[in-house]
Amino acid sequence: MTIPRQLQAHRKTLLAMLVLLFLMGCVPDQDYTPVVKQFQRSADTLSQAFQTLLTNANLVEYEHYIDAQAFDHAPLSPSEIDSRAVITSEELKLRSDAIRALAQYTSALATLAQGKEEGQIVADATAASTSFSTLATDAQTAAAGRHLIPATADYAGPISSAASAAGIILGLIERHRTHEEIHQSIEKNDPALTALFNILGTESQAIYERQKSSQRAQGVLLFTDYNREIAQPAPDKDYLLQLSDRIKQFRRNQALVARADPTAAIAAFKKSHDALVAVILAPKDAKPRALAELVTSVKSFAAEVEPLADGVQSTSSKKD
Amino acid sequence: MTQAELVTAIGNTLTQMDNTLMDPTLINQPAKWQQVYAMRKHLDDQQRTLVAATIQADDASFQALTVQIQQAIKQLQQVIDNLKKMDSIINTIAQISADLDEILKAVS
Repeated sequence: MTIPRQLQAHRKTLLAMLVLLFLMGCVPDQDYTPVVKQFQRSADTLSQAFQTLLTNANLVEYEHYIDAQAFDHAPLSPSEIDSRAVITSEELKLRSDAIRALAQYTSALATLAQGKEEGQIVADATAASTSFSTLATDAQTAAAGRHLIPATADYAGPISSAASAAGIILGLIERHRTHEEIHQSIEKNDPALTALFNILGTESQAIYERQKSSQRAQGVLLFTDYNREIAQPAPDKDYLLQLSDRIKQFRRNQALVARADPTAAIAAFKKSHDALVAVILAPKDAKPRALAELVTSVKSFAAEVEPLADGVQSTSSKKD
Repeated sequence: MTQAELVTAIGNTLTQMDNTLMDPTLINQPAKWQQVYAMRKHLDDQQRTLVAATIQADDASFQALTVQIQQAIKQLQQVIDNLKKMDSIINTIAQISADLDEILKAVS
């Protein structure tokens, strides 16, 4: 038998086993657990990368302003630099906690879908409930306090809808209600979380675009300084070497920034969440297909989030 | 066009301007370079304000202005690589900035 035929035969046997298991009404835990673990790891990574990206949002604006003022031989003052901030610490916390709450909620659903022991299911549901309570408080604090992003007020609606929808579902899990009741509640309430996923995705795209523009502006100043210096009657060699080093670092950073777009990772995060809900709600005969889609979605989520985390981390630690 | 798409479109325009500003041919024409750089700074400030603005993307005047901006960006793409057409480049960027000012005036 040739290798491709052997592989095909193995695949057929594996598929037949999966179909049999699902027809029996259970999910093979050994196949399912790695997918859920991978999802949880990717969600944690996304949460950290997103927080770093938002922290960078202010730093990038400060540095961009300092560079531009220095280039123009214009005055600099701490208050003017601070005035370039685009996000407050409360606004930052609101957004990173939103990612964390969505991740914990989805993880709680995963534990439920996996048919883990009841204690674990309840513990995960309680953790997710706590995250949503924190998020609701964050939304009130951010809306009441000074905010730089007017859209912070727009978070109130999606957060309130998501928190009450997740609260209903998680409450049923915590109160040990029947699977049928929980499934009906997920079907009815889970779509209320979509608006929160969407607002996070849209806003992060805009913040990332700003970072790209600010980072590129550094290049304009460096190339201009270099080309002006070489046009001098007696160019300063040390200065030129210093500039060429900064140009090299700028180009390396440019490649890293290109990998730091969070939009695709947030979209993949939502797709994994949707695929997990589909697995929970799928009738027994449709579970194998739903599970296969979940595996694909979680793999794409991991593929999007890993380079993002590297890119975001590197851009925050390597400035030229 | 949504607000995020507009931020991206302005980002793409800034990229094209940056490539022009980094070109030694333009760097060696200080007056022209300074003119494009001043416009870059203004467009950059507008993008920063746009990120933080709350805009009703379904508003008719926002949509009309973004159509004008898209058309101007298309025109810019046709001439931006040709430094001999610097006046046309500058006029088109000025048009984009003026339309953005109109959008930002409505939200401030």
